[in-house]
Amino acid sequence: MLKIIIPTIMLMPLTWLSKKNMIWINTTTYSLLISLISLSLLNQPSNNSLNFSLMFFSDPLSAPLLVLTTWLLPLMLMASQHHLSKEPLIRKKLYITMLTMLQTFLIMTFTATELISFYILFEATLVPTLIIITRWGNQTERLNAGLYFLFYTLMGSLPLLIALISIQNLTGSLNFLLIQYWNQALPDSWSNIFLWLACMMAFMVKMPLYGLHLWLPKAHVEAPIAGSMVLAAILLKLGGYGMLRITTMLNPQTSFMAYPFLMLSLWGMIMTSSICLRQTDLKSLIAYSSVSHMALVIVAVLIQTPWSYMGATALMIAHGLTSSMLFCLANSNYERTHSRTMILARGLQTLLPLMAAWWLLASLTNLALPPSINLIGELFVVMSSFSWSNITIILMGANITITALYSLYMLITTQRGKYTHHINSIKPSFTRENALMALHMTPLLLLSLNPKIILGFTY
Amino acid sequence: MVKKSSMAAAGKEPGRAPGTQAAIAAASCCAKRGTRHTSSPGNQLSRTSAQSRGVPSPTPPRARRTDVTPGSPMAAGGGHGRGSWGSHGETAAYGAEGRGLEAPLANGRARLNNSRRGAVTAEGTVCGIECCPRRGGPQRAMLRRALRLGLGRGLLGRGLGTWRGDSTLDWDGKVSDIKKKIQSVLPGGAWNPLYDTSHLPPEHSDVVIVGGGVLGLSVAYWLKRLEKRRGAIQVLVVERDYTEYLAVVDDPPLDLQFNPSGYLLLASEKGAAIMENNVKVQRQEGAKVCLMSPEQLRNKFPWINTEGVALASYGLEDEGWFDPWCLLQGLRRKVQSMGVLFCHGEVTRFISSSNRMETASGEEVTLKRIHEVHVKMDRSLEYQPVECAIVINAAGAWSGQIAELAGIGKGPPGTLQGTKLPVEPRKRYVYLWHCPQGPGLETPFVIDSSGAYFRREGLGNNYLGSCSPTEEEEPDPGNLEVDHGFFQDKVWPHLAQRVPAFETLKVRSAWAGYYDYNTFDQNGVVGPHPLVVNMYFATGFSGHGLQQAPAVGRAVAEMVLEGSFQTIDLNPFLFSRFYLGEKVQEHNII
Repeated sequence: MLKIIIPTIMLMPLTWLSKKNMIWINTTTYSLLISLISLSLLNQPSNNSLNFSLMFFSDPLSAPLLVLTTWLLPLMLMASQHHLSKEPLIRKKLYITMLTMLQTFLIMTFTATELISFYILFEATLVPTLIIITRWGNQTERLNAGLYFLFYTLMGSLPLLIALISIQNLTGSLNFLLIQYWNQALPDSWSNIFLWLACMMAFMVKMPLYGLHLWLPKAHVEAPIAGSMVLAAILLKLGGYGMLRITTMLNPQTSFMAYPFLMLSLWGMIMTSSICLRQTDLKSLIAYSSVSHMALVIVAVLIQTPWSYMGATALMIAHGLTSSMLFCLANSNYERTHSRTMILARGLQTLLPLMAAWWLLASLTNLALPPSINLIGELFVVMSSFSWSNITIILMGANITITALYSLYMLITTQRGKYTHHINSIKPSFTRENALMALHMTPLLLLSLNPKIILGFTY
Repeated sequence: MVKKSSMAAAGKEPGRAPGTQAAIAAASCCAKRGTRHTSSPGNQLSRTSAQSRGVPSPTPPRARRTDVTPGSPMAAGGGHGRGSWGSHGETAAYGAEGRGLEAPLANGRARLNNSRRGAVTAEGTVCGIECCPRRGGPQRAMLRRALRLGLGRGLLGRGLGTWRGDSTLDWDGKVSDIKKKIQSVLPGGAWNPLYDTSHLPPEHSDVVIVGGGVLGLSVAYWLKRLEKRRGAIQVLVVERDYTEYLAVVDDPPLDLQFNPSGYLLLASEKGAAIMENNVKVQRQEGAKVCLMSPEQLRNKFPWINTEGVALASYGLEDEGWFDPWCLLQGLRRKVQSMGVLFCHGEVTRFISSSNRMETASGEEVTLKRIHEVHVKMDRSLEYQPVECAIVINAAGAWSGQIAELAGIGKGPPGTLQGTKLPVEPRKRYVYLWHCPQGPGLETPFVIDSSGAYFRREGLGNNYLGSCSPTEEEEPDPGNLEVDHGFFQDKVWPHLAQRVPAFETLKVRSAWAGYYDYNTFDQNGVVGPHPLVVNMYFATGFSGHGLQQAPAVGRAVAEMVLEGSFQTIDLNPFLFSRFYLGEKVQEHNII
């Protein structure tokens, strides 16, 4: 694992020692190389996990998320070039350093073998993210958004620390690899119910569960582009990853504790999709769509069948790439029109036809058009929830319909119609932006050829 | 800490401090209005007097009244004095005094408090500061008494009782202070970990409207009205002169003081054909207007001298005048309730990027796009860059300057880039006179063929009117002094000639204001600028702004949102007519 972590850490000296005009190109190419190295992790030859050391391991669940993390850093660097073009050099370097730090923490979080080290790194990712949001966000509201982000996640995860300590006392180990073989059921008591809640709540806030999601639209809307990308693509997935890992040792409480949260997720996913339908702010629409998609993942994890696990992991990867791409597209609009309001920037199709093609592709993957991996994920989740309870098909079906509606609504308001006078002379789309979209789209399309590498440990 | 406790001790809740500040600000604002001229709605001259409505304080917006002493005859040309100046001065002095009074008092209390505390701690007791001027009102006093009874005697020793009672007062103040602090720190509160920027405009706004006059507000209103969902578009109105502090909460529904009365336009032999044409257009659009011969005119209005009048047109329905100040205030309140932000400041700079393009004919043009507007705060060097998508230039008489800031007209003359926005401030006077023998209740709004106009003002035989000066004798727009000689030489002869009763009249008062005068064709500029792509105009109405504001606001909002005029086709009023030289001229109007 050090072959990824050490190069990532070495990105920092590279940033600080690079010349002014080389800073973006150096870091981007280097991080792209790192992500190429990490691709080898996708090859999981045996049923066992790849144990690199006592500290780090990877298995079919963490490998796709890890690759997604490393893949996203070059994309984030490409996306934020324009946003930072007016900043002094030292602040650009600081920004890249923050992104690199975040990437390092994320890699270690996804590969940690110990639950406590997982917890520490999980919390550590808050720091660079908070700095990125509050320092490089767009408006004054970013401070408020930062506060919401920090306190929601901190409050959610503090009980987890206590729960972990008590589990350590109970079992004598917090090692993921060992816990899998610890089949002793937790006794049926009130304290174990609280243990379950403490363990799950941290990740449910992070996902986020409907009702605990208020931090997310704020943080997404106010964060700079790289912040939005990393939040949507990876930080939310930390919650899903954590839930998938920790539910293995919370038997049999999950089977009955899951009901209220399942209900809340099923209900919340329809609510948030409906909220999307009446958003005027492009970024906040995409943020709410993330909440709705993540609700599917929560449902899948709580149902606890092999198929639902497959659906959860596939959906996480698919959503990571799709929502990150949508944020990039929204940002490219914002950089041209200086407004996130959708009705002020319409009819862009005639002005930026290639960008319109990217918009179309991104919207279609977002609404889970057939060959995409989004569909594979959703299909697994819908099927497993149907076999869990027949009624859920109504909610799932409604959600899929509303998702299609708001994706098309977003596409049509931004791209179709007659353009107004003030967007008449916007800059053409840059090669950088087209490359960025292509780098999002390629993995989505390639994965639909061979989705089994992202189906997780139950495949 | 000392200051805080002194505040609490004085029985002044911290919450009240901003109130007094606002009052001071309002007072100084009043004072300022006398000296500063600002971007203004087009037709401020037709405003009825504030006094006739019995509104006590606010003097007419941005128009200084110069009162002529009632005793002096009409010819008091030199007598135009500083009557209104005096009153403004007083307000200012009051404001300043008020503040001055406050400061030493507070300081004094702080000192007092401090010394007492020092003394007391020297004695070794923990508390006991008796320094409370009873100003908090009866409830507070009752609360104190209750506390004194409840806590002072019951919990602690009797010996300390008297001291204790007062200490709870202090404690009480502190607790509420702390409570307020906690409340403001909680999420959603007003407290900010960094320095306070609540006085600054937001860092980002979708639409920035320069000028908070009736046109700017009308554009804001229609933008909010036509947006599909509440809160879809952020709108910021930047206004230099800001009299919003005087607005009253919870006042009764808007009364525009509408006074129905027809417009009576008189045309000479020369203008008769134009008038006939105008009336035809008006009738086509559904207006009830009748044409009158001099004979008919004499029968209907016997007080008019029809000499030199060939034709008259008289509006029969839905015409009259109203109070623009009421409209402006009403609009401002409405727009505020719709979520438009206001900011008291001045636009000093536009940050824009330019883009070279080639037209189909191979001509090179530079398209500009405004990214940021620098808003300088009022009477401060502080400024805030506001990132925006659209700028709407509704700065009235000063919109020419705003356009120049955006780089409009800075190019070789004769090209589109070199075409300036031909809007400049022009000073116009309005006089109010008294004439006991003058025409009565049925007096219409009379517009003479000479350009002089008058109308009835109230029911006490008061009249209000004026006339536009010719190009050669344009007054200096640098100040708002009223020229009484102008009435004597230019207005009065025409009036007296038309209405013989006006031979003997007495000018009561007069004021001056600015027109956003379009030197090109005296007509409004609506819609986008062809080169600065995200600047839209709603200006240059040369005196008709108020009449046309509702429609123009809607037109500009439609242009912004839909890309074209929807309800009324205002394409002849686009900026490009200045380059193409197509005048939209109207004759025989007021």
